[in-house]
Amino acid sequence: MNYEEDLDLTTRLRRISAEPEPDAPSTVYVFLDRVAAGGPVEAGDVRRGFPRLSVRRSRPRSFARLAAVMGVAAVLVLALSGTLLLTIAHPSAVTTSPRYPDLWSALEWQDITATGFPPANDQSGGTSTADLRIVTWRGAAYANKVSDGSLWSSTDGVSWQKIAGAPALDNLLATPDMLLGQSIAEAPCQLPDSAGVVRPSTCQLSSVGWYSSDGLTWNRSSLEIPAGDAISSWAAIGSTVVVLAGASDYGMGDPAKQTSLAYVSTGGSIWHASTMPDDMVGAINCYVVSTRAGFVVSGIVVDPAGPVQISGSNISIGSFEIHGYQRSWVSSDGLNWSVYQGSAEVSGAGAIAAIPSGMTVPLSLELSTVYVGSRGDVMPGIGHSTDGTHWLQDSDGPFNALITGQASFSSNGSQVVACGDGPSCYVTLGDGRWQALQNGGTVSNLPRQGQGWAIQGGLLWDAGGRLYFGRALTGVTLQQTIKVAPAPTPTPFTEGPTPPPLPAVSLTPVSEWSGTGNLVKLPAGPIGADQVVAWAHGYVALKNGPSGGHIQVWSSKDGSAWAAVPQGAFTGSTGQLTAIGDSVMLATWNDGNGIWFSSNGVDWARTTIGGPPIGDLPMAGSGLGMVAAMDEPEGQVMYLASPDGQWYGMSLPGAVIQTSKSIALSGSRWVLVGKMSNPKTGDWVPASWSSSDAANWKEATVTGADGQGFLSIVAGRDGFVTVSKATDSGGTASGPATLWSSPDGSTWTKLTTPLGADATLTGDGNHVIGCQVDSGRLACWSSIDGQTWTVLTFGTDAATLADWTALGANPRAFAVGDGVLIVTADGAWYAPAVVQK
Amino acid sequence: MALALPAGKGAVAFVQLVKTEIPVAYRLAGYLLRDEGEAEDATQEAIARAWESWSKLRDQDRFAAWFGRIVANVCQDRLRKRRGIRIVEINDETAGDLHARDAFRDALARDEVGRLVQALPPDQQVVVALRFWRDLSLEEISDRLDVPLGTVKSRLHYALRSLRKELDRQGKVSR
Repeated sequence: MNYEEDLDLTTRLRRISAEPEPDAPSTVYVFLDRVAAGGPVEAGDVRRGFPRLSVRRSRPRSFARLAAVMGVAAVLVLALSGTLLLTIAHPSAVTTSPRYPDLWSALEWQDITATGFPPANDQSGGTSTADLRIVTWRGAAYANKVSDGSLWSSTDGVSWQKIAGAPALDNLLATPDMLLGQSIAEAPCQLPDSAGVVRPSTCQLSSVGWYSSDGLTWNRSSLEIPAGDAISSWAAIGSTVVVLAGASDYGMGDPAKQTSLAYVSTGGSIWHASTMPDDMVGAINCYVVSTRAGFVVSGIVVDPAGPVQISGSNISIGSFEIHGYQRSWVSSDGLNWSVYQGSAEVSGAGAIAAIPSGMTVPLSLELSTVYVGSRGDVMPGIGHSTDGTHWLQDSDGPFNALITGQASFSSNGSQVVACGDGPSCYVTLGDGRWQALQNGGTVSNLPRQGQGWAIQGGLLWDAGGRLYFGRALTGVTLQQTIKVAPAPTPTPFTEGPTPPPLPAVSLTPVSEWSGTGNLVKLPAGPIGADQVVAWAHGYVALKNGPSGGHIQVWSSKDGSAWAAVPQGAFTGSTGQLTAIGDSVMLATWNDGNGIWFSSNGVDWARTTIGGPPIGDLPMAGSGLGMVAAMDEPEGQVMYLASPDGQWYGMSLPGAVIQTSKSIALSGSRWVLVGKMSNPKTGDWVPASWSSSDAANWKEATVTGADGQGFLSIVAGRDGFVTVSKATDSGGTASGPATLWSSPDGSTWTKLTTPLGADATLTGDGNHVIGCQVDSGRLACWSSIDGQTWTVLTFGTDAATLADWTALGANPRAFAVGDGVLIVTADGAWYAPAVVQK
Repeated sequence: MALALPAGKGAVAFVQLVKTEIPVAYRLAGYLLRDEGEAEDATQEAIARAWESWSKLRDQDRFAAWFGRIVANVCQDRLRKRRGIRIVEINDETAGDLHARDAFRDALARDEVGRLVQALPPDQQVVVALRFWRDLSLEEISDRLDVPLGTVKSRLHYALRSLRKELDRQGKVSR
């Protein structure tokens, strides 16, 4: 799925910066003025926090507040230390005086995976999907497993029973009297057949409503959302339920012309269409939330002059850009709606705005979900309210201020629980005060990165493909502790079974050169080529096009006679060539993406190769297969093995965060260079990994590096050469270049060569060639190991060598078999190598 | 290393160019670092880094992109260094700060998605910020961060996928 087309998500992201943005403080300009005035500025001091000129606001000391802060901080520090402490339950618990008798204080965990209730079906990325919808109703928990529509119930959180005969549901909602559900149903529609004749068919999906007064027997309600539309959200206040629906997504039709629908029911069986203002009908991206004081719908009213912008594309109308205004509507009964008139200037935690009906809600409500506690409602990130009309910032502010990891919220109608990683959970009854929940029980290894649901009697925790139930204890403090496993290492990206290592190959003896013969200008050479690769049946050259243009490709069997592939055969203005198996692959991006394969260099077939998008990732290949390096997921390389055509992904050792720059291949030795983040300091350091089979990678030893990362790598038969520069600050490498060589990519040593900072280096896995223009004349050297360099004389035809600067900037030389191809913006030349006997 | 700050044309041009970029830089830093004070520090650090490399900038027409890249990298470095849950040393001063209003923190707290962005890896946070809060194209982000376009795409893909998953999980919108 292209998540940039997820308009709900992207719109909400854009809204964040849609408000008037803070101005930079004057102190920043003062600092700049100091630069202008030529005052002394110590760069190192700046990084330590100087010359921040702002004055911290001083606040009155509050011992009570400070104590609360320290208490929460202490809990967090414990939870974050290398060893997470789990407290053993109950026998050693000490009774305490709780703030409220019913407020949970601890959870006694047990593994309930084998009890039949299925955990969420997707654990990728360490977070569960929305596969489970759980509500608490009449003293029992009801869980809807969306992926198969099944409905489960439990009265103790441990034993779960599947409710036979329930319809396949995809959502649940509880009111005091009814349990409500939604399901997706097929609906009759008209579709053209293969001859283009429109015929009745069954294709589109509609949403229908269900209700149950006992959780076991379900009846279909009158709610039916028309085909093509979908329920976007629903909310209940008492027995009154509001359903909001609209065009299912923006995959079809003009999103600017979408209409919203709202239905209301007071029991769940009979539904009525709401009376909505015209602007609400035409609004997009709408959803509804409930407070104790009324319903609030928020959406975007389409208006070309509006400040909110939504852009995207769909298959029907292509790219679109919609402008509009953010607007909210309120209703006390769900039937009649009016525009919310709150001041647009009011926002943020604790802010209150008036609306015509007399109730007041925070403007931020339009963006939040409300969780119901026994003593008040909770709005994550905003605060709490005891009446739904006045919202206050939580008094335990550190809870919000200190947790920067993602927390999941849930409520059983009484306790509102927020769980971070760990799980480290906090509970409130909705009065704005949060209490840390202790973890105890028989579970010795409670997985992290899961999802929690507060249900009757405790917390359900879904993590690591298993389910746990933490029985809630009140009024006790647990004493003993046990250790649990440390945080797991990230799950490596894998797209298939265990990868078979690529076979090692015996190197074909490569001729060594003592120089080159006369340079000859080619009549049809790859002028201006940016890349030349050798593959099983010759050579292919590529020149990138300007923005909006096309790449150019040439093919040659011997490196001296070239033929152009017809221009326009490929989409994209930028490309990259890679040998793979007995073929050569071209990947393009910018102004069009595509993958093409050729087995003769002349005829190219567009294809797909599966796996993650490779685009312009660093990659290299040969008859063995190809390897591409990915920065995301963090520190991964993957290879497309030939001939099985399967992608395999492997983690790079030590690469917590890594930026891959370049890969080179010599024989069966792959070496990847770039930089990675030092896990301890966060600073960039040069990094290199090598592998002899593409499946197992080893981190290299790099000492004494001047720069912050390796920028490129080329390979000769007996070694590799990589380049770093003096500074890599701000993402721009600059300063004198340093060359490094390594026989196998495991250790690196600095090189002293005739090549200067502006030299270009290329390599074909046999010969490395470095060239630069000295005083208008081209000077090149070759090496097969990166250590010993031979000057390439290009014969005695001095006239040919004169004034390379005039022939175009940045001449590049490529080894093509036993010859050298030189290209500039104006021409291409070839010189045969003088082979040592 | 003490910076040599020659008075004259170079410094004047530098100041003029930086001044036009400070608002954008400060806001990007604010959204990423979620702290007005740290945004201020980061902006100043970016100015200092830019001044260090000012003499190496050949094309002043590309100053905005060049300075923006420095700002993004400064923020990325700071995010990496505080990766994971941020521990705040408790003292009189910071205890007060914990309750202080912060424009950027408030902006991000308006929507759960703003809070969720904080949980993304730093590299993904930066891409999200540049894409949605600075309205840069993918190509501009690639240029600004000095990473391949494919990497920008993948970071954005993974970031949005994570946000969508988490939003769905919280049951805010059933789709």
